[in-house]
Amino acid sequence: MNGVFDFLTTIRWQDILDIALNTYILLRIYVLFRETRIFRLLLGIAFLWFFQEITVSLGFIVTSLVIRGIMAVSAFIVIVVFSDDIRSVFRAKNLKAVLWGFPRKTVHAPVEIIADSVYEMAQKYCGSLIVFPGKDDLRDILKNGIRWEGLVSKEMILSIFWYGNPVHDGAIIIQDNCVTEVGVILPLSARRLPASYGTRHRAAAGLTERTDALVLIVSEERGKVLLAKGSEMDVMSGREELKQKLRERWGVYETQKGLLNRENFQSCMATLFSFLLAAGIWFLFARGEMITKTFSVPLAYVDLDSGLKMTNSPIAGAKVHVRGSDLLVKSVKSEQIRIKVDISNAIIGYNTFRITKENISLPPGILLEKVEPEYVRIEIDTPTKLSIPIQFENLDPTMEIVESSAPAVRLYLTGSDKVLESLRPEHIRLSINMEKATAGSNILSIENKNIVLPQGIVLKKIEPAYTEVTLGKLAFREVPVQADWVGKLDRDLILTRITLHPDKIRVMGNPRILENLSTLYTEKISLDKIKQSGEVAAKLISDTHLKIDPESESGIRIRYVVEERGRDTAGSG
Amino acid sequence: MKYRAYPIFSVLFVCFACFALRADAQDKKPAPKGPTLKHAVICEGLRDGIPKNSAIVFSIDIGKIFCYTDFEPVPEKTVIYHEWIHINMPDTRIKLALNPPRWSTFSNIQLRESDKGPWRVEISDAEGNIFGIQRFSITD
Repeated sequence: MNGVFDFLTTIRWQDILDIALNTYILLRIYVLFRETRIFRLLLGIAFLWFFQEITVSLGFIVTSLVIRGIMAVSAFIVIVVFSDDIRSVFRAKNLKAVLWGFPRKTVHAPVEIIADSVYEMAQKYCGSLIVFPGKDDLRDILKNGIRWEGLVSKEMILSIFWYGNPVHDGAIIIQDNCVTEVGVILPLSARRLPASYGTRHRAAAGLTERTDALVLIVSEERGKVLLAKGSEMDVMSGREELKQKLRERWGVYETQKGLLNRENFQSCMATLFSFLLAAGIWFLFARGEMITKTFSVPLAYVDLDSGLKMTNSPIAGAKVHVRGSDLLVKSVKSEQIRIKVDISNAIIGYNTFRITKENISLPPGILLEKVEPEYVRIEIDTPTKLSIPIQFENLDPTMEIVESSAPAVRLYLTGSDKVLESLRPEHIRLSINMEKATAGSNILSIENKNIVLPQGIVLKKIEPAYTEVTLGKLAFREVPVQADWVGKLDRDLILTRITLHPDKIRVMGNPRILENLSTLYTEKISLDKIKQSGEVAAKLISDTHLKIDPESESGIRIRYVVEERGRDTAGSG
Repeated sequence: MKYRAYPIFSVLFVCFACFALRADAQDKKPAPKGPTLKHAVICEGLRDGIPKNSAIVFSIDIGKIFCYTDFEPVPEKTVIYHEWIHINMPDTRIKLALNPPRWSTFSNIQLRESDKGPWRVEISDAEGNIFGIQRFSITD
């Protein structure tokens, strides 16, 4: 008892719906094809399939292969040989008839009146065509009908088909106990029919092939009565047989209170059988002997931002442990299991993603036990990284940058390959406004607005996002200037004195640098052409750490005195 | 008896005050002034203690140059330094003695090929007080 209860608790709503849907599909196949030759063939194919499963389970290799071949041929036969039947089933039936309801009709049909009228016409060789519609809609098939709406009576039927009546060549339609239309033209059958059959027979066959209607034909030439239904057309031997056939084959029953409706019984039995078959198949597949199996499944990393790339080689696959019925699990191939790792939220750097149930796509009925590894680690990067120096702008002239934690930043860039190929650091400008910076430490954020990129380049990441800049107040100092002579002075000359103007320069710079700065030198001044006293101008050697008084930037004028060697020059200097 | 002791105390107080003021005056007596640089040149040599061919530019070919300094007065025996500096890099520091009342002294360096460039000699005392700087160049 506990086992049954445990089993019931494991049934999901999907399982119930699964069985119900399959019951419905089987029932509809039965309803649509029950009175056709196809149905018998389908039953045969189903039996073959069942037999083939048994042979496979027993290990009969050749038998199972042969049965499989027979099944393939049978399917071919159904499609090719019975194509007309299949077409007639689906063409005539509207969507409602295909999906729902039984083509039955409990009609208060005046079978006796119809049978008497038909046989009286047969005796008189009076041709007639009587249509009894089923569930199918005949409006699109029938043409030129004239509304009649008269209760069925022997006299009325005889008068309609009397040869002098203008509508005697067409068919009449009887619904319940009422003649609804007369003079109706039916579609002709394209089938090969016996030569003895005339246009009336062909018209009857044309309608019954396409619909579930029943057509009664009275042969004008032979005085015979025929009943057409589906693709069959039978000659009635007598009045009683016609009455019986009308009841049996068309389902025209007179309502009999207190008696079990045979058709309802058939429908119930068909539904029950369909349910048992669907439940059996479901149980065979979903609740057979439960086994566990492991599959090696490749990982698919999806939805990565188009501008990013994976730099390391993440694990290519994972081991998926699944559980399910023996039959289902054995039929699963590793290609049917897919693992998609959504990395749309990945950021530049290392990312760890967990493989969850939602990432794994399994065939129906297969349950996930576990996946190994549970986590994957990937490194995301951009195709191009450039180190760009920071340009500090609008810095107070009396201040200098003593230290910067990030004199340059790394930019992670994406774009089309063509644009990235030609991209150089000098094409990018990164500037920070230092207007509000103060002496001491300043934390400055580096944002997109600080960066000017060429067209077609997209910035993905800035590293670092902040820089700490330490500013120091500049100091002033007057530093002596010294001329830097080079070359060779004439051997007979002596450069005894020089006067520099200015001889001292006011410079601004880091106090520590200024403290150790004792002399500023001019650019090299050549002695080679000096023959006598004179004056020369020279610029100072620039130092990037120092700012020179703008007035002195123009240069230093050096006035020099040259004397001939041999004179007393001891006192000069 | 009570009032006879006042003159004695007054004399002692005056004597003590005079002694204290004198001692203080001795402490504040100015220290003797250091030597004064009268003349300094860079020259090619010395003849009879007098600099010969003082100049601003010297050829490397002369092999040796001198820094001549003349101090007057020199109040007391002391020392000075000639620090030879080549392009802001100290090269040689030479200690020289000075004797009162006047003293001339010199230092020299041997020139090498690598000595080309701007030079200066800082003349300073033991405490680092600079008397003067002589600037010159060594060229081809």
